[in-house]
Amino acid sequence: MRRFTSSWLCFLFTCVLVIPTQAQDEKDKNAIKVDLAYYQLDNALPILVASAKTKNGKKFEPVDSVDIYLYFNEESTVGFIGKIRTNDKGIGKLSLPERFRSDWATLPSSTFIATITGNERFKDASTEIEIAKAKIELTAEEKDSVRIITAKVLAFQDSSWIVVPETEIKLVVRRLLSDIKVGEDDSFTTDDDGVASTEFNLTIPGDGDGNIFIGAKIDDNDTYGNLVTTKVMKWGAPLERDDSFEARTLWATRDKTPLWLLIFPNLIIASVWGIIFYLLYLITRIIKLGKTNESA
Amino acid sequence: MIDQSSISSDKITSDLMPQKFGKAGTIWVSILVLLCLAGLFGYYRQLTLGLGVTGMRDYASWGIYISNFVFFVAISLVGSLITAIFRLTNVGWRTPLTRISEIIAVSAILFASIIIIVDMGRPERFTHIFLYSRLQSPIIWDVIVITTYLVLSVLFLYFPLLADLPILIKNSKAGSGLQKLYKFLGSFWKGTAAQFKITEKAVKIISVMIIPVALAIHTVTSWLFATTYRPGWDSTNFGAYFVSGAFLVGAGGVIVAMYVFRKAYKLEAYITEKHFDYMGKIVVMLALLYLYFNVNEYLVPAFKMKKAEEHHLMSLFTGEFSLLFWSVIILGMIVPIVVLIFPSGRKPKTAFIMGVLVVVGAWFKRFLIVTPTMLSPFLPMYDVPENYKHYWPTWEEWAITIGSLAGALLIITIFARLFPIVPIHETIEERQNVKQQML
Amino acid sequence: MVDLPKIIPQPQIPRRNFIKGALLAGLASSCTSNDPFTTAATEESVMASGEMVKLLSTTGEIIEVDKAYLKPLEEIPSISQTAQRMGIEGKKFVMVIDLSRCKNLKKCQEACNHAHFVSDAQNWIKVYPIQEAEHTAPFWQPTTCMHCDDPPCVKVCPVDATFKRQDGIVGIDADRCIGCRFCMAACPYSTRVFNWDQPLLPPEVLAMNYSSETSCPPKIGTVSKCDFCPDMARKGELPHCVSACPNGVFFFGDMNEDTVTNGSETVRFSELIRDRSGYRLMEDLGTKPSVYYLPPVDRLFPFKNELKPEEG
Repeated sequence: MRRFTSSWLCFLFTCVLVIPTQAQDEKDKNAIKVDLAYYQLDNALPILVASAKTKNGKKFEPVDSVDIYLYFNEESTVGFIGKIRTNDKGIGKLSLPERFRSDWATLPSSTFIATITGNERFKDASTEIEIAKAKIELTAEEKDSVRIITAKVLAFQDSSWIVVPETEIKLVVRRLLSDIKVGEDDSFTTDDDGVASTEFNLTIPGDGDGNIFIGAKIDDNDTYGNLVTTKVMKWGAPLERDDSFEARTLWATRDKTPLWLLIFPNLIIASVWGIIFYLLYLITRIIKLGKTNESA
Repeated sequence: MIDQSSISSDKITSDLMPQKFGKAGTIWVSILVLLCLAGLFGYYRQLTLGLGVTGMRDYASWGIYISNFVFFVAISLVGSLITAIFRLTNVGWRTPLTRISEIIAVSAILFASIIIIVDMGRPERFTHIFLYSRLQSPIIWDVIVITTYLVLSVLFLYFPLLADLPILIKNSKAGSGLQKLYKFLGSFWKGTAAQFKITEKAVKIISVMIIPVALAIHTVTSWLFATTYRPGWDSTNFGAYFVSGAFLVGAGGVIVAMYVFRKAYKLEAYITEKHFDYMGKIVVMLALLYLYFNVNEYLVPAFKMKKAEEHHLMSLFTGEFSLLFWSVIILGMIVPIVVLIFPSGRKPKTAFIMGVLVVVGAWFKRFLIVTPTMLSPFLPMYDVPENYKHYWPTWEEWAITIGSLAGALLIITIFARLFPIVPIHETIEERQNVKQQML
Repeated sequence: MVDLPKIIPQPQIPRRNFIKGALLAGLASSCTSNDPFTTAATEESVMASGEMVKLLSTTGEIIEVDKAYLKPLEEIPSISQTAQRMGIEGKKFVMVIDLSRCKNLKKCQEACNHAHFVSDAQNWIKVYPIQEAEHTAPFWQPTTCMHCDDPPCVKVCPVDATFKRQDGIVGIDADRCIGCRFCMAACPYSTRVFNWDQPLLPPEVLAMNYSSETSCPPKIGTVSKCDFCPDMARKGELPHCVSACPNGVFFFGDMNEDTVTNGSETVRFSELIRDRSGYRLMEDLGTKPSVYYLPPVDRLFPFKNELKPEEG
């Protein structure tokens, strides 16, 4: 029974996917543009970001709720990475699954393919990017009270890492929503040794211990994609803890009512209601008196 | 007036015993019931469709429900005024007025709590007030003091009623539902000295206690407004201003009720012209007091004309609320003062008309306290549909509000049907005392 | 679920010394909205099911893929109600609105309304034409919720339905709100709106559990307002209004990091406020807003108001 159901579902699925694309006039559908970007953080497995846009008049607008299929190196059963669905900004993300790790790690360059097929609203579309594997080595050191950040860019060729000169790289302090550049320049170019470095002169708050994330990034590189390497350094000013949230204030939650507001009103309530209960007790006294009077 | 002390206690009892509704009474009750039903229907619509059926919108987010609530809280203050303050200051003529004012207080405070639930966007979450109550919020303070005042007022109604219950039991039809009710409430009352002593003690305790509680309900209610930054509400005077206004409307309400009960139940021998005379004087004093606070509330900010206050004050003085504003000041305060200051103005009929003016004026005064301020925000009213910039209640709001007022009157009416509106025992006692003194 | 340490390795620092905010900061990157480091880029944890499903390739061939790989993974890990009420530890969100750049395009409003299902009449963001005095220059003033540090609305709430979070955000729990509207009366910035009628929502939104971080779905009989989009911040993304503004009027960031960004420029908050004479609205009320304004000097656009003059 179950096998029947599942095969029936398979059939249905195929119908849904195949029949509309063949039966429905492709011309009725809008064209859609799919983009793919490659991000790699601290030499972990890369993250693929696919986005879908469609032309509305002269402007491109993001398309939400579109399924995009991702493939590694080839559009096949083996290369299928997974499916993402775009959000309201037309973007979907997926990190490369663990099962591709060995392939990805050994290949000097990989191709990533994003496709939109069998969509009800849009024509088929696909894109592919070829990314050469690279990494950034980030070092930060303090010598004679001069703080230096150094980044070295390396690419993976012929099963070894070789330096990459003439590449644009940014040296930053990483923040929640954005990065702050270290030094005056927006970006640096690596020298013949694949190295870029700058002095760190920022006075910037870190966490409670003064830790900050410094980072080196390569943005939108045609060959290497987007790479970021980060490092935690105790180069920030320690953040002073703000305890106002824990304080008993008028705007705090009920478990943090100011003590005076807890004590005095409750004293008043207790005394007033104490008297009220005494009055109720007086009623019972009157009742009792009435009863004894009756029996007597 | 000349020799009332000569009325026999049997006569007093038969005069004051609750009577069946006559023709007028039946019509009166049916009208009230119909108004209540209309209010219930309006509320049914509001429950199913949401507060969108009201005229309230984001700027005027409080409307006549809130002003009606303030009105109910205000008028309920009368219980403590007549009963407690007069009792403590030994005002001799208070006896026929105590129960009237106390039942006004109970029914008004009851409907104040009902109308505040009506104003809630999520009445089914009423329990959240107890489950998650947050002592920082003035609403919680209000909930606490109103509950306290309600309980105290009921007790204040009940203790003096005890002595009347045997009379009621004796004079009602044996085995009737009414008699059962009386028996349930006070069959244990034997009128022994010990019982009297306890009752007296209890009444004395409540008299003292209810005054601060009554001041608290109205002060805390004023804080619902005064704890905000809004023009017209941001005042340190607000508690006293509200309390004085509450005393005024309460006293006006008592005059109205006195007149109506006097007519309906032929109580001319008990609620005499003397009572109207005294109450008239009290209204003059209270109206002057309230006028004084009004001058404070409007003249002082108008003198400075701060930018934020300007829109609010001008909407009252010359703007969209000016007609109502000056009507309330003139008809609700100045005219009653002028009329009641003359002895001939304190005759029952004119006093009654002035009482009506005071009460109606007070209702609209509450509207003027709430709405114009809501329509005078700090940042200009902008980028909203036109109907957001004005407030006019919808028929659902009027139906519910009028229904609630009718409901309060209905409670008073039913109470007067069940219990003597002028305390029988106390009146007999008083008359006997007078007689003894004369002898 | 995202495994944070996997994305940001933290060798030498014991976790408890490292406030979570900074940890989040580490996840952050440039503010381009397609930066994945900031977010739950979905880590693979699916095992092959062995059950195959047919897929059509771009060349028209049929590819059989494992069904387990087809399931789109949940992007945002759901956050508990308690965590939503607490807010993000170590953060103090702040907004800076540059009045010299605003030309009343209302893209912020549009994006906000779209993201939060706000009706046109009840914009959370309003762009006021302001002219302080007769002879002073008019300018456009966008307002959001001020997320006050001494919030008058939170003070008066009887049931903790609106609350102050440790990251400075004033949130609303629409499942708790009783609809008394005291907060609306208390707010001097007229920032709160009330759902008078049943909000018109797509069924899938209606079916969602309420989240105070997205203020969705709005519920009838309760109060709504700008929430500073903490759900976006958790993803390392900017609030909708900030990213929607083509003129970079809105800067958003974390005061504890002393960093604000409008999407293309990232600046030190303290320097911006110092150099451009930042101020807050109605400072005299003592509400301590979290929204700062830069005065409308050297305006980029002439003030054009097609509206009637009395509306300004």
